Amino acid sequence: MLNEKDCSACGFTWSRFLREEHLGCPACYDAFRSLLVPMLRHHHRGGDVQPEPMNLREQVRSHRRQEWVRRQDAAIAREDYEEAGRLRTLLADES
Amino acid sequence: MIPDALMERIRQAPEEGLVLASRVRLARNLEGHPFWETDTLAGQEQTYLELEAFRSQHFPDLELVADSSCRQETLSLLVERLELPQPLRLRSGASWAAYQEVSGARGMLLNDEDHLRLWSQRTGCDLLGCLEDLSDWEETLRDHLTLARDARWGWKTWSPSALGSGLQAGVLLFLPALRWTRRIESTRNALEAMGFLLQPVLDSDADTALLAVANRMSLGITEAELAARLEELVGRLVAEEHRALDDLTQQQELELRDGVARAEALLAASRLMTRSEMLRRLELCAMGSRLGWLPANRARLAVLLHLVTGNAHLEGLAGAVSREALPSLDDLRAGAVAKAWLARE
Repeated sequence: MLNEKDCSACGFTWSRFLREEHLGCPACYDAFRSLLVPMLRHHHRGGDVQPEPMNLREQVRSHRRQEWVRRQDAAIAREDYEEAGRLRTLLADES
Repeated sequence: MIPDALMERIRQAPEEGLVLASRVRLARNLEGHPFWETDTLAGQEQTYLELEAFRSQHFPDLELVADSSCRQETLSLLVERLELPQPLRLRSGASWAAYQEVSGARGMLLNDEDHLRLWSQRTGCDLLGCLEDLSDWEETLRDHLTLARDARWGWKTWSPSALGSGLQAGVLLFLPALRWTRRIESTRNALEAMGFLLQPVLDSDADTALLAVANRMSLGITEAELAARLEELVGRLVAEEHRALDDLTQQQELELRDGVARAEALLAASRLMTRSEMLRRLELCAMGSRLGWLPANRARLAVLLHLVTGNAHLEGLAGAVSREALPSLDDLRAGAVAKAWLARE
């Protein structure tokens, strides 16, 4: 008979998780949810809500655009207009 | 002796071979299927067949690199040459397979610890580029498979350490000056405090300058943010390596010049060499090369020799010769290193 610390889908136990540091099936995350929370917060440095999945190429492009804008602002602040112009061209080409 | 693809990747590596390659791996799992270790043999086979049917329909051009019929020696060799990501374990009975493109730039593991692991790799530090390379593949998975995902925690993975994005990103670095100035440990501790790891590339080399910096956390952050953060850290590690080499030359130039000259001579002439001795001498020559004391190609050659003189590779060479004639691998290692060292590119 399964006890309260077994996964009803695969029979994996919490003590086995503590020993082997992996789970038995995707449903284990629901079976051991409350037990996993502190461990996940520790391992993932507090992050415990994953953003919605996004297309990886879009993520990368969005990140690059933000980075170019940041560098463009910095270039303008130090009056490096050549670099600022180069970044403006990159941003224009990308959009 | 050296695989062409590996040779080319290291030849193109920027920063004189300091920053060698980037690799990302994305883990995804099928809803309703146990992970292989808790599944029955029949269940493992069923999961594998489903994955294989998906693979052959959507990725028919990939080449089979290894599967459950491979011998452990073959797998060790592929891992040692960085042609397959670790960990890859021989599992009796369980069906699994590793596929990759002809170029070796992208690949996938079916029914390993996670049901699906996609990977891509590029020369130098380019994790964002690696992510872009996997974008279409990852979309195909999401479009055609029912993947295990938690509304709060994201992609469910075999180990909770990869939960969330399912991303493991790593950059392969060669940091001899940090090792010689005994700064690897403090660097490792500082990275751990930030949620990243600095580990030997090959498990068998505990004390090595060939290291991979990788993410430890994967939950609560997007793939691109994680990759960008890691790329920034790589830049800082490279700056630390340059600083360590400056310190070495300022404080111990004579000793360093002497060590480099001895290492250069011994690598070309030794008849027996332990792995540890070889690593130390290669590190010295790589530093000598960066300082302009040795030909420029020495730094990259040092890295290559790290990768192709591991035990699995040498045991493969030994297999072609009578075992009785080989008391140890040290003579094979010395011979392979001397041959490569004396060859002029």
